Amino acid sequence: MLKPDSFRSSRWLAGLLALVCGALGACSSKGPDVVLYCALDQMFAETLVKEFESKTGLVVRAEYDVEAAKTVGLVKRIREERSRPRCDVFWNNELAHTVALANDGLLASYDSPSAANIPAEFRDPQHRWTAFAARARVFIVNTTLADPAQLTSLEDLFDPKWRGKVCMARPLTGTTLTHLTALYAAEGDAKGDEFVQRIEESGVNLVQSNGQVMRLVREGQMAWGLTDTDDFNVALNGGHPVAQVFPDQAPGARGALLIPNSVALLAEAPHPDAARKLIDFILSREVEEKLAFAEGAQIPVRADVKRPPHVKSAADLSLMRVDWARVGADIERRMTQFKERFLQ
Amino acid sequence: MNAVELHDVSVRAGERGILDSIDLAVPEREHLLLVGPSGCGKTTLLRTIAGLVRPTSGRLELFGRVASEGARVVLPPEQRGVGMLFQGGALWPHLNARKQLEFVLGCARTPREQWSARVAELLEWVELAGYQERLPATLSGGEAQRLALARAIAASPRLLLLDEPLGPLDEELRHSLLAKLHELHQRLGLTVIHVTHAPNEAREYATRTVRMRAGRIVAEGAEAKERK
Amino acid sequence: MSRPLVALAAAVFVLAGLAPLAAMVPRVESADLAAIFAPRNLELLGRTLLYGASVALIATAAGLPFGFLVSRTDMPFAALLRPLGIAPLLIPPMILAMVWTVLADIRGAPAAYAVSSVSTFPLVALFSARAFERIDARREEAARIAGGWRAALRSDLPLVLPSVACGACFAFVFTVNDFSVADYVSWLGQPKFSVYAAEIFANWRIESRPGLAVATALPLLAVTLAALVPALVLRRRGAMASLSGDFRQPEPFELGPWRWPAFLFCLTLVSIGALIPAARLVWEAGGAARGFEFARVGQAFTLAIERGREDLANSIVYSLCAATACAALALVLGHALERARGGRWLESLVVLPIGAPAVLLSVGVIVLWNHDWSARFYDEGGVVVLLLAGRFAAFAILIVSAATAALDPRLEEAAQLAGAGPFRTLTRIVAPSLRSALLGGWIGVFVLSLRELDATMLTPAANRTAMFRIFNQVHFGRDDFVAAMALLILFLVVLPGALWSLFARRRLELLP
Repeated sequence: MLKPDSFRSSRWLAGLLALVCGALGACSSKGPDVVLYCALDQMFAETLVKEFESKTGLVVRAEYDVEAAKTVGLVKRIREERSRPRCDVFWNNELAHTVALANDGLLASYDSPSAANIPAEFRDPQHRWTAFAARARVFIVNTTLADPAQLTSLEDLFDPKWRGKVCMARPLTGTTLTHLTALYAAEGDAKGDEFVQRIEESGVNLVQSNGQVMRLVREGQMAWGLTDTDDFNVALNGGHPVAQVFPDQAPGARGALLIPNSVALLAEAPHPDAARKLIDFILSREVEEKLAFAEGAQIPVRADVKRPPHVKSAADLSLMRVDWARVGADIERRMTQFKERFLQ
Repeated sequence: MNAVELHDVSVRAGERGILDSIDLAVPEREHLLLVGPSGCGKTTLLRTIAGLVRPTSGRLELFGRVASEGARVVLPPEQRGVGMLFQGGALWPHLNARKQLEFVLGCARTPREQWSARVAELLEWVELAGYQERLPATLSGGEAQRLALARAIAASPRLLLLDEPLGPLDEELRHSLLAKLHELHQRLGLTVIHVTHAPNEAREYATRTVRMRAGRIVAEGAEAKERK
Repeated sequence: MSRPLVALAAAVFVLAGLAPLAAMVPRVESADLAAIFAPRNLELLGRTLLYGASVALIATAAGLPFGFLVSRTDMPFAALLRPLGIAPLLIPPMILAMVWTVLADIRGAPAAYAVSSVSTFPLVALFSARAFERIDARREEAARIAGGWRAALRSDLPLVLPSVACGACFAFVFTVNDFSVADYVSWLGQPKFSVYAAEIFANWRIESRPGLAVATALPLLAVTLAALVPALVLRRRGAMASLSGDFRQPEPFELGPWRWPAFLFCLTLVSIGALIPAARLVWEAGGAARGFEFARVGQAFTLAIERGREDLANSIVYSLCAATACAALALVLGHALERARGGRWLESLVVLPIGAPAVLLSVGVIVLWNHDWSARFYDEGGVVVLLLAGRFAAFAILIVSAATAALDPRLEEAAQLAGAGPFRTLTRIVAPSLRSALLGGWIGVFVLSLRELDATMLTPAANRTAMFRIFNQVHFGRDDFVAAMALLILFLVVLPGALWSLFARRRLELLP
């Protein structure tokens, strides 16, 4: 049994406990005015958050995602925290999972005045989410190994001429999963199945992520691959010999897929008023412009937002038509299907 | 009064019996020699008396108080008024000589102002004056064993248990330590139970010898009681 | 043992490490369990087991000679190579994979085998080195008189094999639970190389079946425990093989003409596992393909410290707290496991949080702590410390229990007889005697906490840690920043061990 006097002899243990408690205490502080879950480049998002804070005097607690979570870490958290939501605003770097959250009743509607001039196809009819600044699915081409002019369509991936020299990410996560899900939604199951079948038969190298596609192509280990515009720009800014190709731009072709950022107000958000202010800020013209000029080179969905010359406007591109509600509803089923096919 | 009384005490480990119905009475001020081949249960008997081993059955009394009854321990080791000199000394490697003794004095709630006098007295008595700040690793075998002896009696126990105290020591050291033990026995009026596998060395000081084999007491005999 | 103290420590451990896992179990439905036996699942599991076993073998082939050479021979620079040999274990395997797939033309299954072996060989090396050091000189001398050094080595091998096998078991466990390596290198080459852990991860994202991931995690958990239990038994046998009271240190083996080849062998292993990856990180911090400049390295570090300073500070504070909490838990529980009857059986319960997939623990924490009454705790750093302590306490506990086994119980009995209560005996006699084990456990937990990402991925406060920032930036391709941050973490990870080996005379006990 513990004896009273034995406590005296254990000053070091008491000191140790004090250290732990003190350290824990030091970590706690006054609560934030608004909680943001943000699947954007942390370094870039932080400057935006600071700007919002100095403009409004509100304190934002921003939480980010990591590579290992394959951009679904925050989505997972929103679902798991559903019994006691702690997130106010979800800023996703894609749209499909945001739509899935809306379908499951986890989002509240908010028609932000900042969104007034965003084209209707990028806005939820029920205002549960708004999309803006987009990435596009493009080919990244190592210009020392392939001529970008020879590439025009997604089906070039299957050209025997490139066998063993092209790559894309495994369609289990991220924008590649969204891309294939959108393809199924737009062209039907038969064509979708055929496309997937050809991926397998033509020996396209399926790698871990879009980032890895970019790395392999820029290092010359692959001639070209399918990735996102932001990854392409990382390679371009790094001084590597790369070019980008928007696939399927010919008249009558399916068009390139745009995957926009999306922002949403959470149902039962703990701080709804501040959350609306933050959404207004994120959807502002200035932020979309900053995203266009940033390293990620996001494509503005508003035609009149300024952008640097190397960033295309959504209006300049022939775009794939996407039923996002359906993509959001299908994505889990497709993931299971692709998992059984590609993970073995 | 008897210092120690064991009535039908057994200790078993699983199926194996280590002590088998031991009956033993040790009168106060006796110096009892416990002998027998190794593995016969001598040390277990000693540790049972100290309260470090829980008997499976039987009754153990110390100075008229029940210490254990059946498998139930009535007095925990620290309340038995027992000092023990372990085989090999079992000195705490991180404490110097002074702190070894102070630790015991602190546990016995000796007032702090008396510590330094008592430590000096104990160390002088075991001929280790000036060794106050020495760590066990820096002591020779004989010195370590004497320090362990000082530690065993620091809290003024009434019963001293010696587990092969002379083990690794050379002839000369054995004699001087034995003489110390005897002096202790005489001066403090302690009861001593002394376990050894080499009975001859201590026979001249012992009042009685008990011989064990395979967990049982097989013979008892009075020793050089009349030596004085 | 102080019963209330042990009960308190056990309660903390259960709360931190076991309760989040238990919270996940009710999600499992019978259909989820049935999915375990789907042929595709079983095939993945079989391949993963083969992968883990092969890696353990390769790691042993490299780690056993490495451990022997650095601990027991007159090889040049052995004292330097020995601590460096631990480094590959501290570098996240994903970083090793990223570096080596660029530098060498390896991919697919061979790359996964190679990277995992390089990353786990230090485990076997650590265990072998310790076992070789603990062989009593007299045993070896007896063999040498009979048949020279060769005979000595032959007589040593059976004595060190249990320890080596224990290291191999740990290598197996590390390998089968990691999917980042296989995931990263599995491009190119047929057949594709997928592992079971990837299937578990994919199942987390199937929202309509929340129990599926938990159910698919069960076989891997069972396999992990099945490997850890023999490891724990072998560890004991290895630890018991020697170290009696009058232990005499053995003489170093003389390698003669083999000194330099042996040095080259060890240097190669350390280079592949640590030196070259670290150099590559420096190169990337300095601008890599854009043109390397030392000024750029400086800039990258300045940026990393400027932008990552708070995250680094958080990482350090959380890791310090977790390490300290684990050391306290380890003192109480590690000691109790060894001294209490039946404690050894409880060891397998203690290792459960290491064996369970990190995400399981992570989601369990949300389920357990995201309530109104615990909101403050859930949002702030306390929950991170709890999570890290729960996940890694086992390391510290096992190290301490092994050290307790080597501690003479009479030291405690002497204190008990003197009248010291269990608490005083624990803090004044046991703790100081176990200090190198406690510190070893402390450093181990500190290092593991510092580099942990998976378990903390979903925890709010863990969002502000250095590892989190690194892997956020990996995604967005900021290579120079990532490299500088990774080097800073590496430095922090190596620091405590380096300080100890510079200033302390006693050898750190880092092994469970």
